[in-house]
Amino acid sequence: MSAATSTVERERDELRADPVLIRPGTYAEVTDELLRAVLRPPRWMRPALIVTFLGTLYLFAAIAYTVTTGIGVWGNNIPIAWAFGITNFVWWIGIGHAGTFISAFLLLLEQKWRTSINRFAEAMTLFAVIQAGLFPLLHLGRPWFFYWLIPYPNTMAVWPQFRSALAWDVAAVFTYFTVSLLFWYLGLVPDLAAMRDRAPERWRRRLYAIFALGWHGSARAWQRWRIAYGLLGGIATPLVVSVHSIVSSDFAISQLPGWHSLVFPPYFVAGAIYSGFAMVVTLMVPARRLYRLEHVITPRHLDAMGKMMLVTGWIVTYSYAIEIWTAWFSGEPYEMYTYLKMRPAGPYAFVFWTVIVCNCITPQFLWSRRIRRSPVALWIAALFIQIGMWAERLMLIVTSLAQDFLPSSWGLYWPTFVDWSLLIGTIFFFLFLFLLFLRFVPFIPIAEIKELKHDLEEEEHAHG
Amino acid sequence: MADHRPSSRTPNVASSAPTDAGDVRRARSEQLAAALGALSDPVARRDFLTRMGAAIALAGLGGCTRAPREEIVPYVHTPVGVTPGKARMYATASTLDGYATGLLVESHVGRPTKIEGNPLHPASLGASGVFEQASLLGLYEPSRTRGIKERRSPTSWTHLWHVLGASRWTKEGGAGLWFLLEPTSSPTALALLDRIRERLPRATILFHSPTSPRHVWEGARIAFGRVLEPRYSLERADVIVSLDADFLGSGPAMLRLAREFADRRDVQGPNDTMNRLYVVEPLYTITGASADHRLRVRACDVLAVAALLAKELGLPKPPGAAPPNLTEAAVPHEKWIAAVARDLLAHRGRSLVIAGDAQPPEVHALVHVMNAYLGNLGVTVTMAPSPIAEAGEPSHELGRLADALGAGEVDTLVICGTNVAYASPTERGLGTLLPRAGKSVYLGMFEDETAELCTFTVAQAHPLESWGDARAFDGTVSIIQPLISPLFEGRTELDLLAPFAGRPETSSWDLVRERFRSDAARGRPAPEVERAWREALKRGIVEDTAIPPVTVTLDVPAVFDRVLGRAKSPPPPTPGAFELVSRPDPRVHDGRYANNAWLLELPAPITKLTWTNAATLSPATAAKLGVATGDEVELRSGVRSVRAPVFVVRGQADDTVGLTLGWGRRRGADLARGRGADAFALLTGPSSQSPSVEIRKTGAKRDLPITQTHHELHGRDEDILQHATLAELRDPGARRHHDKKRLALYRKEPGPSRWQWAMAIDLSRCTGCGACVVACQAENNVPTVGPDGVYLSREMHWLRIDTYAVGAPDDPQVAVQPMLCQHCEMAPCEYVCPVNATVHSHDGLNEMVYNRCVGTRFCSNNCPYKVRRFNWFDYHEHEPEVRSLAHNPDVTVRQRGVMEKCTFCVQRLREFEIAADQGRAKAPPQTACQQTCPTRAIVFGDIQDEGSLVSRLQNGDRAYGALANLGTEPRVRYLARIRNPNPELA
Repeated sequence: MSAATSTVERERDELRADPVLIRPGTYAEVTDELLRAVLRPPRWMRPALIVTFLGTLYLFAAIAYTVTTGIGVWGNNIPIAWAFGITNFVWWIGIGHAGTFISAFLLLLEQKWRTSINRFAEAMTLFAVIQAGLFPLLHLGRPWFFYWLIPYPNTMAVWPQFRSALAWDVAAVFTYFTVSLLFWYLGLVPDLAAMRDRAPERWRRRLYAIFALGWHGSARAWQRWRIAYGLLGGIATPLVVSVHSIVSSDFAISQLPGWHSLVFPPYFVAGAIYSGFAMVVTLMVPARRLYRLEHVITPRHLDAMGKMMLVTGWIVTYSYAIEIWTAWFSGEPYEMYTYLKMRPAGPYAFVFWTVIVCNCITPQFLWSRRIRRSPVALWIAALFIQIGMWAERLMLIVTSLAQDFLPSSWGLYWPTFVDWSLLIGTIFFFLFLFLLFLRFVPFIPIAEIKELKHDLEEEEHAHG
Repeated sequence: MADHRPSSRTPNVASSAPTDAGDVRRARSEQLAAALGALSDPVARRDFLTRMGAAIALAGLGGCTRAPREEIVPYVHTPVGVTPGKARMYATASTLDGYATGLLVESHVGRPTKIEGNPLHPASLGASGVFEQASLLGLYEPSRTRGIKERRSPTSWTHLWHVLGASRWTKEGGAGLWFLLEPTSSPTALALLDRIRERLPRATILFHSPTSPRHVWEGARIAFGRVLEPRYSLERADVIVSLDADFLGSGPAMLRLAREFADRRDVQGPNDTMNRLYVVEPLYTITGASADHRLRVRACDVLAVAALLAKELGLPKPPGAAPPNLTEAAVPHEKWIAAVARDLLAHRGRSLVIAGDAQPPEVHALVHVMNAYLGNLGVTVTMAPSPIAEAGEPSHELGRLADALGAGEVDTLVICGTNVAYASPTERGLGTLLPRAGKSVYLGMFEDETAELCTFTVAQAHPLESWGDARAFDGTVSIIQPLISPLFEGRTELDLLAPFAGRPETSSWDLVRERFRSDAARGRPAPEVERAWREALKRGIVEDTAIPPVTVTLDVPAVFDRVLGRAKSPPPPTPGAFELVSRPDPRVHDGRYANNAWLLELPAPITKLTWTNAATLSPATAAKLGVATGDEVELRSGVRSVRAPVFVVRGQADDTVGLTLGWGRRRGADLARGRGADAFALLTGPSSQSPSVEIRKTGAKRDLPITQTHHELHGRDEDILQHATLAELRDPGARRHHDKKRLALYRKEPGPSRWQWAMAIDLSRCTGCGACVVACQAENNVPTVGPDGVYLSREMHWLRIDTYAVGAPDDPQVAVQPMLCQHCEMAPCEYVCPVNATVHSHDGLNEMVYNRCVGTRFCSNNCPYKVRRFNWFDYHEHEPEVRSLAHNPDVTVRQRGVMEKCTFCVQRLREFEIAADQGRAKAPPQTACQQTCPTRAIVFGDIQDEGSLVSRLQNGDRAYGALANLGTEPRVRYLARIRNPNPELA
């Protein structure tokens, strides 16, 4: 008992020394400050929106070109029938994991520090899943028939083929998107109500009123809201694990050396959280600076995120090692060729070594507390991890396909400008959606911050 | 026959020009050409349906389609009427360099859609090669020239004859009139030429093909004193030595020789014997790939090898001292040659030495001596007169024409079918001399290099549009009957020659029949002759027309004289020069097929190169020059040079550069224009010497469209391509256990079906010629993707020939393996498709449901054989309407975005099943690849029937499943490749 008490006390001491909120003012001040970003947007917002909007248009031009001409405009071929498209899909959906992880997982674990960043992360999740969802559609030869992957009763009496992971994949991604959207929106309702109450223009008040669903902040509303939010969090939590496990099955159920691997589900989930946290950091560090929110998103948050990246980075590194070891231990010549020859020394060796440097070496810097708490250093590390995780998926997909069983069918893949356009275009689209979010929605949960402030003050009183 | 022709006037050619007025054929052709012109116009697509509607209505009214006017007789059953949807087969023949190959052509409602070999024809035996298979597409080539043109503007047949008739030669017995024809064996053409000589004695008739076997003819003249051609009986030969002879991949008897050769490679049990093949060659050919022992030497050193072989055989010494340089080049290989000689001597009368067409006559003569000495003459090789007209005569040389053109002696030049301005050594200068003829008429299929220089261009009818006749390599006559009336107002050689012979009003049908009657009559009554005619059309051959072999006497001293004479005057060595070896291209021959997309996209047998040729170099030579595959080099011979990409071929002779003929076309081959390098530019006149060229690296790089870039097996032989020697096969201890016992999670039982289809592919028989690839493409409407598509690894072939290098890295053996959908019982593609678009049928086919496919391509990723093909674009979108006539109506044309692959020719299986269900017993179905295979390496059938050949092969000692370790349980099983090396050389 005493040990447990002392642990709690130590944590509390740490919390005090390393607060999750610095110098909060009154509740009204908190509300004002957090709403100011939306009510009086910063000056860079308009040009940033225009630039990302143009990038988004470019994306849709590339999409139109692909759909009207055929996916021959990509660099894919036989043997490499999947390449950038699926790489981008897995990358984006991986990024989409951190939001729910932060919101739901940490909510259930009652990690208080999550409050400042959870909506941010949830929004990121949604927008990343939107990007991810584009690719399975676009990569189809006949995207107009995508709905054949959905089990719906039809006159042809033909169902999807349930043995194929692609059919599960559709379900998993749809579910994940739906739950994430609901979770995000539910969390947003009290703040939308605040916007409704505070917005200066009449039309804005009307608009926010619609989305606030008549929220009036009664104790009963709060109580039900909390139950619903907790339930959704409970539902969302297993999804964090399931979605990427199923995405990994897209590869693991095949018999291709480099894909056919039991370690894939946990390895993919860890990798997803890894890249997701990196994306949160990538977005959070500049936002924190631009909106002068250093006292709401404190070094303690950066520190926690850094630790998460370190942990997941190690899981990923371990998975790489296990994969290679298993390939060697199996004695299976095709596996050995892929893991021991093709990847480290084949034509795509530079991708493999990029992965090792970005995903295995970079996180080792995060052992240092100073780096973890330095926004710039952390941001750079996050960028490396993003690149590394993207390259990992490319390595996984392309190097496995490029040289499989029959040497006669071996080939190489090089991306075309359409491939690059779609990747870069989705980054713009993602940023555009994200800026819209920053522009129109309180991106730090006001109610929850106030609650956190209240809790912290309670604790102060109790112990102070 | 409708009497629609203008009444004849005088027999004089000058005034006997047929007129256009009232020529029904011409009127019809014009209408058709106009319609086709509109059809080729992309904006008129909507009109197409209207026109088709009208056409169908008219067809109903007229009761006929585009079948030719004259009666043609189907192969088996006399038609009562055409049944739409029901294909019929007609027998005809195609020619190459004058030699015929018998064909059966499938016709759907008057539209030829597929070509097969004629089992009754001696040069086909039911098989066909890549050229025959692809000639179908040539019929529907929209860039073919149309009608008659004078300097590229349309004119009329009347005008043509008006102009010709006003010429000087008409009054001077043909002086100044020159004919340049393709070498021909046609009895009808010969009769016409005789008539022309009679009427115009001063006219000159020449024949030209750059690939005629001139050295074979000359070699026989040296050895036997007369022009003869060797005919081989490979089924009797236990030991075969090829001196630069690609007898499996080229030549008029290639299909037959491939069958005879393969029949002796087939070992089913340990007691079977097999032949042994030694190949001496500079470039790697499919014959070299089939060899048990292969020696790479420069082409010019083959004579030395032959001489040394003769010496080792113990041939009587020639009088006088042999010059030391005769065998000098072969001395490093003395041990090899001695072993070959011992093997030959051990098989007297059961062996055979073959010399290659391109080798100088002396090698041929020496080979005749060796065969005679070994007792092979009359047993494994017989000598017979050539079926080609004037074989070995000076009329097969171009020199006289060049001289006469230079001297301005040619008033009228008539060129039939040979694109001489391109396909002759540039040094001859015909490309510049042709305009010096007073006027010239060119009968050609395309607006090519020759057409550009000639006054008149007359569209040539495709063989499938023509009446004619031709002889096979052994003299057997076939009647060439048309399947369709000319699409582009084409005329035949006979049409063009007839007016000169004083028969202006006679159609080629009449001429052929006339000739047939006069040959077949021999006092027989007319109805019997008529019956014989119908029989000849039906069977595709005229019985008892083969030219019998002759008994020969060998003039050994003359042979030695020539051989020594040649050795005494060796060509002056050029420092820093490389020997240029240019052979007919396995895809475009001498350039005549350069407009055929199927052939252009057919991977060359060893290099797997498509859409271009390349300067092939051995690794050592490439290293010496500092070049690698894809580097551009300039090949220079004297003042002329060409630029070509380098392709490094292991197993090629050092200091030799290979460049196939037929590429670097300048005009008339829209698809191939500017692709590859023109080897004719580097060739010198009639010399039998390989020209030497200088090679310079230009620094530029070329992207080569290659379908296979890795040829190593990486130790996966056991899983992929099993090979063994005959000794290993016979040794029960060394026999490997091909299929290990496998544990399966669950087994898939074959479905309820009367048949369970399966295939066995014998790697001992397969030569890798590629005929099956084109046959599959023709049968299954497989699109071509162009060089850029191939470069991006997007070729669509359902069946490909994989080649692997086995053995020493520098001088490897090439092993080939046809790879197609293996129709796995436990198909990895099936369970990963999210929409059930690829499923298993009850009779064991892995089926592809195009309608259901959404194009995730997961199936391809999970296919260990990578035999699935994806429609990255709509490959038929810009297809000219006329080319779409080549499509097989029984097979879907696939949309963009769907996966496709080998179906085991399911359309043929279902047709058979329906017929069988209705009790109409038919021959068991054959897949297209199987049917065309010259060596019968592909066997297809029902494995439920234990007596079927495929069952026996699949259960034989040599059978194994490719990558069977993965548990895919393929329905296609391979038979291990067995080689029979000489123990002395092993």
